Amino acid sequence: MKKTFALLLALTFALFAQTDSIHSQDAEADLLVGVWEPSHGRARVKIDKIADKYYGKIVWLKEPNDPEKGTPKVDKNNPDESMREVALKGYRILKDFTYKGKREWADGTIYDPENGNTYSCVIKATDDNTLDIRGYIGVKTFGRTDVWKRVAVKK
Amino acid sequence: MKKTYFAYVLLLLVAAACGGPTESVERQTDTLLLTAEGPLYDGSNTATYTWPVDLNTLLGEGYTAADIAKARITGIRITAVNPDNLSLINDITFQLAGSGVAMQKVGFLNPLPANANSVDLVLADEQKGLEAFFGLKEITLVADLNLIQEFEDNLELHAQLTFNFDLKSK
Amino acid sequence: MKNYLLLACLWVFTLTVQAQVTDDDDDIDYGAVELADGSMSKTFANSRILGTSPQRFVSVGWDVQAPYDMTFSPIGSFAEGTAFNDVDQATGRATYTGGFRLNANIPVISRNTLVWQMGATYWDTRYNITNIAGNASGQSVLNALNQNGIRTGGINTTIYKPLSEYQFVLVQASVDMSGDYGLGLQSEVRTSVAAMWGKRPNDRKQWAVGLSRTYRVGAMNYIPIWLYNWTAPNRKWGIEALLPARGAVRYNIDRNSMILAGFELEGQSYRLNTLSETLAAAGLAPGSLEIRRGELRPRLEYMRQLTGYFWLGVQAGYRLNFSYDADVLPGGKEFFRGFFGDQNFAMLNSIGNAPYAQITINFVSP
Repeated sequence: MKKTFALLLALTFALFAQTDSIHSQDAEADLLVGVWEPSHGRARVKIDKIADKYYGKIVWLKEPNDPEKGTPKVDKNNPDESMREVALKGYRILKDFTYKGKREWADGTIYDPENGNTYSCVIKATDDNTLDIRGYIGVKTFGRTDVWKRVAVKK
Repeated sequence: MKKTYFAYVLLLLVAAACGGPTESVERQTDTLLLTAEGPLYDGSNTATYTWPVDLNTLLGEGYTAADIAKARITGIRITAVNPDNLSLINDITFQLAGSGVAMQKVGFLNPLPANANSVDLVLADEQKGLEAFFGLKEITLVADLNLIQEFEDNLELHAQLTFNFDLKSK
Repeated sequence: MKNYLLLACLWVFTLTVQAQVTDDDDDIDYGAVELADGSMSKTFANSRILGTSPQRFVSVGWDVQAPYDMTFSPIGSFAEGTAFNDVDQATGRATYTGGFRLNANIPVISRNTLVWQMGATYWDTRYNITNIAGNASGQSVLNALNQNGIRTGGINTTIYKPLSEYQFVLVQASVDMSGDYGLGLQSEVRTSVAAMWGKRPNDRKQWAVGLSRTYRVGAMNYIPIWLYNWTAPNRKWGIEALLPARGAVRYNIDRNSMILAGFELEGQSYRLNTLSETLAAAGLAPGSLEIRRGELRPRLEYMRQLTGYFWLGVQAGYRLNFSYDADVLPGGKEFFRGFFGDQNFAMLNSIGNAPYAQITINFVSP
């Protein structure tokens, strides 16, 4: 009886410890999930996980309408002319990031709707609420880092 | 001089052998169910479906991803499981995603026409390396939807995709 | 038995708690949020302006001028305003003036709070001067140019520091070595500095005012400067200016090509190395003999994307001589004449104006 009790207890703790470890890794990777504000403050980007990768889409724009047309902004600078009427609200500007450990996500791209360019991108969380987003071409030297801040609902 | 001609002929033969003849076929998927789990916020939401790729069903027995020289999406038809729900959607952007392959935007419609029972999306002219998706076990279909108003329940959409495949001759 | 039941319950509870996933994002009104760390959102003026010609990380080019005449005085001491025709002249005809140009600007730090770039420049100008005749010392300068050409090489740095959402400061500095030197280095280096404060009221407009120490007019000078970059709302037209150094009206043909119509002021103080040493050794001119080359280049430039981040630039215009006079700098030390100084020139030189063309391949910042 005592042996069985001890075994079950050990099993419970072992399972707890293992799942806790997996969860803490997942939790660190999922730190990226949330709503973030780029430094210019004119958009908010929601990053979520689809399958095993992370993607970020624009969920809010300070100026949602095109100042000239007065209609909701679209991806008018897309190099593929056939896709220039895609709505910017909901647009996935961060794509295909995988977690590399040490609070870094890589192998992804970032799209700049202002000029229609897509850059290689690496993301580094400097703390739980701050991301260094570095877009670059070719090598990381030729790039620019923007600081994004996590936003939360006003209480 | 003869050697040069011989080299040219040899090069041509090699090029022809590598290129190989291809056969073009068009295939339509079954109806695939994409779900956006409610409650949904007005604005941007996402419906997804993980599609287990079965080339035997899609192309016929014995085909593998290596037999696909080129793949292109030629049709995306969206219908709402509850027909009334299509009117909740202002616009749709449709993407393919998968492990090890970059997400690709393949179609969109902005805005959706009023009172439509089903919609055909505008397709991307530039579709690059779509065939890579068919080497995966599953493809994630991602539909980003801008909703006109909040919606308490799950929003379910049916998608039927048409692909054009250039198949290498066996 | 009760223990088993208790443990089983605990086990199931543990698993259930861990399996829960919280997702409260659905209730977010993304327009009514605050920063999660409680700090205030701080925005900084971006260094970029929409629609401007792409910033060149690396540029490799070739510059060539059409033939023109050169007229040089002897090496002596000439007051400003000396009638050129009263001076004994040496003449020649430059049938070829041109050379290779390399510019690099590599970002060291590029963040929204600070941009720091380091760069390098190497511009080579080779001459083919024919029909050299006239006074002996003027001829010797013409021969030195014909034989060695002139070049300028140096390093530079640019720091852009936004102070707020709308204000910024910009500091540029360069250290250059210019002359007819070959593989060996020469001791005389020249420093140019510019400092500006400015505003960026929106994504399409940026201006700044400041002061520079520059060699663009040939000799060293202190000049107020004005930066102005602007793009029209339709992004078709724009202005790119750093006056008085350069200015252009830009027309964006499409997203991959543009035309710029404007001008550039180019110049440096070029030490004729071997000649300086020879003259010094002979006791004729104890110092650094330097040609104060300054030229104005009204021009048209067509830029287009070749592939990816590689752009082609083709320029054609007219090279107007502003200064080709020379000074002897005692001990190589620079002096300030400015526009109103009365120090004598060591040579009064004149070169004809000529059409020019330039082609560049550029690796650009997106």
